[in-house]
Amino acid sequence: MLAVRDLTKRFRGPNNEVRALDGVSFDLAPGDFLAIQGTSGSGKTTLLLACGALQRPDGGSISIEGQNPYALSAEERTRFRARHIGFVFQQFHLIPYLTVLENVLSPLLALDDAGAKARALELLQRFRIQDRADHLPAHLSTGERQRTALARALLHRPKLILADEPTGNLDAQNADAVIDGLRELAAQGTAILMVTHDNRLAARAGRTLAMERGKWKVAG
Amino acid sequence: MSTLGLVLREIRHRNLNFLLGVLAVAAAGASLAGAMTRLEAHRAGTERILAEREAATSERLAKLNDDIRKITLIQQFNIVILHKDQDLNAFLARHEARTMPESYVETLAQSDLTAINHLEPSLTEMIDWPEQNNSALILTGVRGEVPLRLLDAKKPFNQPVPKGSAVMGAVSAQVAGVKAGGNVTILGRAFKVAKVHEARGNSDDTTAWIHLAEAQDLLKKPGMINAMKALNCGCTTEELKLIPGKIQAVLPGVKAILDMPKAVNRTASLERAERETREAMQAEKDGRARLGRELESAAALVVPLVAVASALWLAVLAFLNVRARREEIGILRAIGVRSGKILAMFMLRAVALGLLGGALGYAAGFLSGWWWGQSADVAGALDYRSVFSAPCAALVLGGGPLLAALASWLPALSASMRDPAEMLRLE
Repeated sequence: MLAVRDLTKRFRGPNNEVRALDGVSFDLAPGDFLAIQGTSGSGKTTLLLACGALQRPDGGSISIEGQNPYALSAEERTRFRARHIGFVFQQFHLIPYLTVLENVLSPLLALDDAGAKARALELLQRFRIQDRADHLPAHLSTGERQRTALARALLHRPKLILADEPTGNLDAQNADAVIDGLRELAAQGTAILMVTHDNRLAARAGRTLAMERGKWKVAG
Repeated sequence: MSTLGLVLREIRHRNLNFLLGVLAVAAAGASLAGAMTRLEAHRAGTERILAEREAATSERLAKLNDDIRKITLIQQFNIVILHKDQDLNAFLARHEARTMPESYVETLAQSDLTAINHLEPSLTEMIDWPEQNNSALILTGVRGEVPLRLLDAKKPFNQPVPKGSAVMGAVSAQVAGVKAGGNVTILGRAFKVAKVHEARGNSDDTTAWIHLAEAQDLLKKPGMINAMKALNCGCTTEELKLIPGKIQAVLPGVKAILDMPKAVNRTASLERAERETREAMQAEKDGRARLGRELESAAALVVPLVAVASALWLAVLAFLNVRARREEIGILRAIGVRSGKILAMFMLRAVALGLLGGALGYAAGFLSGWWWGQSADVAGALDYRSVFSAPCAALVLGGGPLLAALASWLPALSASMRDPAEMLRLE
């Protein structure tokens, strides 16, 4: 599903060059739920964005469903992302002037999908936010916002979910609900790559890898 | 959800930014529409003022013409047409004049001549008045004015004298001791005195006017006349000099003498009146044109200034809008929305803003330009249709979206091209 080989990425800092990724390799099969841990600046978010075809690495290769997204043109890569990858972020990134249902349906702006509306209602029900369908994000609790973001990520039934600290702003109960949802998706065959520094939640993933200065610290 | 639906929802959400943008476009549109409508009002006002002034000056000119005609009536004829071999000394000193056929009058009247009017033939001879101890009498036979073929009939200077009647000069009436209504005998024929003129201090005072046919009979000169009098038409001074030649071209057997001072005076009066009228009209036109140029200069300065200020303001607002939507753009890009669609979202917003601002600006500009034109330019109401300009409306309604699109282009382009990873990281 996802194959990462010798990935490198450098950023120019104010005083020196920072190696955000330094020869990272791993594989993710359908149904895998991999949690990546590490301190701030360890390179885990850079790895996630690179895997999501959002940040071109300086070296190494990434293959998603046998295709290197960075070999595609910018517009092809955008379509590829819409078709294959779902994103969940710590900050939710909901569109503030759209209702919960409209936010969940927002991927339709990128890709037409005839059954999307029914699937969106199904997802709202699955994440227990169906009674909030007509509410704006500003009127939701943080847990409801994250569940909305998760429902949005799943609309097109992506084969790969990339989650960046998806529980970072949630209380324990809501965090558990989100992890339960991700585990359920993994059980259905979706590959999940989650970045977190919460050991308790990482332990609930299928396997865990830790990063330090752009490299694996412990193999899981 | 369609792109347009998303744009409309965003407009409702960030309505202050949108409203400020609409106001910027409206300001630019209003300044352009206001200036153009004001200029249209000036044009319409100029047409009206000049028409009113022209009517007034035409009336004044007609009055001047009438005054000049009245003066001319007093002066009466200023052209005399005599036999070509006439001794002028004999004519002027002793009223002796060589005769010519009366048919000359018809020849002249039926010609293409338009340089004279009030054509009056006469037969004049100074006689010893046997019934009054042979005192001198100028006997003049007249038949009234003969209309010229190509000219409208004029009110005659002198009424024709009916057969059997006589009009007496003041001295000749006194010599005969008659008054109007009395009888007088001339060369053995009795005439009823139709009128006695007041003393004029010239040879008219010793004249008696009778019908031409009776004069021809009494003087034994049947079918003959010895003078034709006429008045020059309202031609230029240069044209006046050509009149004798034109008459002689029609009647080679005559000589025409033009009383230049009288003719020039008449012509000059007409010319002066017309010139004054033309000058007054031209002065009004020049004044209006000057005011129009001043308005155009002011518009040429203010309109681009407002447009540039509005464009800058729109660009700032568009930049602030992009900045406020960084997170939204980042996530839209992350979920696969193409950069072209992001650009279209911003441009649609700009076009909506421009259309609304253009419509509001046009309405405000048109109404203010119309009101200004009425209150400052012309007294009284100015029909709104006379100041409406379709090209102006099209320019403002089309220019509003264009201005907004141009001003928003760079911020929108930068939003669509930005790296989604960077935008999500920043948030």
